[in-house]
Amino acid sequence: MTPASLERRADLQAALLRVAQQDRDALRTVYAMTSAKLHGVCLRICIDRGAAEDVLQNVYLKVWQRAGSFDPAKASAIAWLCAIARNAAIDWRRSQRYEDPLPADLAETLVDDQADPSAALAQDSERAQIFRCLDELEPVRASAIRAGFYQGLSYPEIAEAMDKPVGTVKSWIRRGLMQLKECLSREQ
Amino acid sequence: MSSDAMPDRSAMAAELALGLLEGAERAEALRLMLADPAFAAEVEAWRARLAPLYDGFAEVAAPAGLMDRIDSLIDAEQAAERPTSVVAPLPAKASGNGWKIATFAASAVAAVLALALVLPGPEVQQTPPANPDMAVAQLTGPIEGLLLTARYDSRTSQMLVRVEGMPVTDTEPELWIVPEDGQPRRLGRLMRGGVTRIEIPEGHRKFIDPLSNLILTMEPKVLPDPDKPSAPAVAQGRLQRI
Repeated sequence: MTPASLERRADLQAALLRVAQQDRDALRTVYAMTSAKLHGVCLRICIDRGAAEDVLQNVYLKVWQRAGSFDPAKASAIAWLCAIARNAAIDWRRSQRYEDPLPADLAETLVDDQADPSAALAQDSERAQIFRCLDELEPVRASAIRAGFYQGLSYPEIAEAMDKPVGTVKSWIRRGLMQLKECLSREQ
Repeated sequence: MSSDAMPDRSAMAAELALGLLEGAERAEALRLMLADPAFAAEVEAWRARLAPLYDGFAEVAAPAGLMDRIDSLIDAEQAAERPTSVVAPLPAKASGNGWKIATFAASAVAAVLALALVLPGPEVQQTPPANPDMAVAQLTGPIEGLLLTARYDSRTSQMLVRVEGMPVTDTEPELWIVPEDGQPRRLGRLMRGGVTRIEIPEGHRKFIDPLSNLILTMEPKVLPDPDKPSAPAVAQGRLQRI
């Protein structure tokens, strides 16, 4: 990590800890530092812009209410925030599913992953590990895991998007996750 | 089971962390998180392992004006929570966002109702002292949906604790206060849903201050040791004076 990104990380953590003390200015700081990222998370999973905006708004209300349970020993501030956003977006998605069928181009987005941050992360080898490990997996296993993480899809949805039986997808993901775990422990 | 398949529990921990589980499977995994600290640790380890993947979400500028809306929602909720007047001020009506305000108004009403449940009766409707000796805390943790709201009133020495989203388990929810010295003190067993009223023992009242955390652990029906938790905290939150 560069000194600048380390400093940014420390600033964000400090601001989030102040939010836990109900400091409204600190919430504005956290928002300024993270809203583009969390909006990206909500938008990727919700797809619908209006829904992503509503979910994002609720995410920061949750941050305001729950900052007291943020524990810097367990997670970085940005991971803690992203997890809240991702869970909220997944909850919204699952509540909508029956009215709102999967977008038709989902299978394409699975194949053509828009996120390939491995190059950008090259300077931070520890964090880039998981991307290297994903690249080592069989492509279908990596795609299925990415679909779960980045699009918040459930097993049946991934199976539908990849046009495979749920059991097959389940076995791809489980084996892929186990390989991922082995790869991460090997590289550490 | 083939040699390269994960044992079911480890698979379930990874699947929960990845967000793949739904319905009954998810409920079962959440129940395990409360009942089995080793499983909970495995889920946490997977969350930590997957966390660098968040770098892969592209940034997209948030809609203009959203922070101001968030600010006014918090203002309105705080106005609703503050027991300074009989009638809580209604959130200001904004133009253009009619349905959003309506959605919020519903949640504000829910918040007021929740507070009404944990507030004592009509006696607080007289003008309270300028600095009422009340403290509140919200407890959350790694179990999505599990939320505890606690409110302590020094005039009655009672803490009212509302529990929402508690999965079914064989264990029982136990509330503790952890003051600055880091030693948990038992406050009592909670009901799994609704509001539990706890009489705070005299010796523990001095710990009600903003340096203290409330934690929830899931304990066997018969507490192994009433002086210390036998399981890790599954939800926590800091006390705040209001």
